Amino acid sequence: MLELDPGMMVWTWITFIIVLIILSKVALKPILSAIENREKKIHDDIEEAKKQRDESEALLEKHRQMIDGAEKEAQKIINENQQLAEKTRQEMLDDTRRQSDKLIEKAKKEIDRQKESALISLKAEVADLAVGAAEKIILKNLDKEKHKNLVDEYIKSMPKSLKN
Amino acid sequence: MILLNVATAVADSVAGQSENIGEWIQHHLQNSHEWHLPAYHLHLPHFEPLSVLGFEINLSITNHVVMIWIASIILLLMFKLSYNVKKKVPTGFGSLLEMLIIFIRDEIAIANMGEKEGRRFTPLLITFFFFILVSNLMGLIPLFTTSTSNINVTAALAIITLGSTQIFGIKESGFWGYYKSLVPHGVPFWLWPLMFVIEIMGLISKHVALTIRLFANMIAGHFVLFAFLGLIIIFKSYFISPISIGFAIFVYFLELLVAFIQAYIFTLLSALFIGMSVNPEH
Repeated sequence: MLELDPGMMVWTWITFIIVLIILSKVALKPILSAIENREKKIHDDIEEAKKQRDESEALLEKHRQMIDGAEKEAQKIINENQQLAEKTRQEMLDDTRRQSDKLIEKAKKEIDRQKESALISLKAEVADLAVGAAEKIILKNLDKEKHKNLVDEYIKSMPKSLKN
Repeated sequence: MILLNVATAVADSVAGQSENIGEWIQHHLQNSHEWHLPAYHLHLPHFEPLSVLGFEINLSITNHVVMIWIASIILLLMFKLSYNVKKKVPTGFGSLLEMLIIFIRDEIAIANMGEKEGRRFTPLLITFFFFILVSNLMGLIPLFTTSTSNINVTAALAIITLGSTQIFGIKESGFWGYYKSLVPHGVPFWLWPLMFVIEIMGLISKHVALTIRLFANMIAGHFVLFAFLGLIIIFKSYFISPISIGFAIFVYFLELLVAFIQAYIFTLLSALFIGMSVNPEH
């Protein structure tokens, strides 16, 4: 069992060396290079994915900031507009009030003026009518001029009681 | 019919040798000039021994030579047929092969030799591993025998490792540099001759251990396997056969495990030795 057999050794060497050469040329070299290429590709892909993830994270961060900025901007614009609208409303309200006050004032004045003129014309009318009536009633006793003066005096003393 | 013939042949040989089970087992494990096929003994070519440098080299084709050839053919076909390089992802048996290849490359070659040397020696180590593995496993298939249970085969493989360590070590650091690096640093000058002899002895004994380890592991399993089966003949009873066969099957599975472990250990130690010689400690 333990006897030395150089022939066996020589055959083993020959076989092993031939197998080693054929195997490494035919199978191992292509297989190892294929495995290495695949490993390299996977490694590159992972690196690439990592890079892309970093990039997209940065982009996301940027977008988030942009959205935040836009939100703040929008809030600001809304606030400004609200203030503006408030101010405008107030202004318009004031304006309107002022105008309506003015109109009321004007209308009052007009009414006063109308009343004044109406009163004046009424006075004249009443005086004329009274004169006419007095003329008809009294007729010849008094001349026209004297009567008129009498009535005018009377009317002048009237206004206080008329206004009330 | 064939089974019956086999049974008859076994019975005949058993009848002839039942007196001495030990001899019967040895006969089955020994190298021979015949291949025992069912009911037929294939006689293998016999050559006259050559005499080279005083050695008598008998290049006759023996049983174990045929076995290593068959192992080589199985190995080459296995790699050629089951692994398609063009496929991006290997499937089936190819993925198993690839797993083993990557394991040998990363865990054995690169782990023990470093990145550059590891990649360089990967083909050698893969060939070692699969050559030994297929040879080991062939012993578990009926009609075939384990060529690694022949000490000459394991010695030849260990000498290939030894040769690689010397050749690549000398290539790496020069003839004097390599043999000087065998002696560890910090040894006093007057101890160098002694240390050198010790280191050379260590170098040789490492490889002898490599030889014996593989050989002994492979032959021991077969011894045990045959011994369990031989119990049937020793006791001359059929009733012992369930026990023997049960144990034999157990040992068979153990052998399956040992076949892988020994192929792994041989490859690992080869990688370690070659790595030590190509990467001398500074």
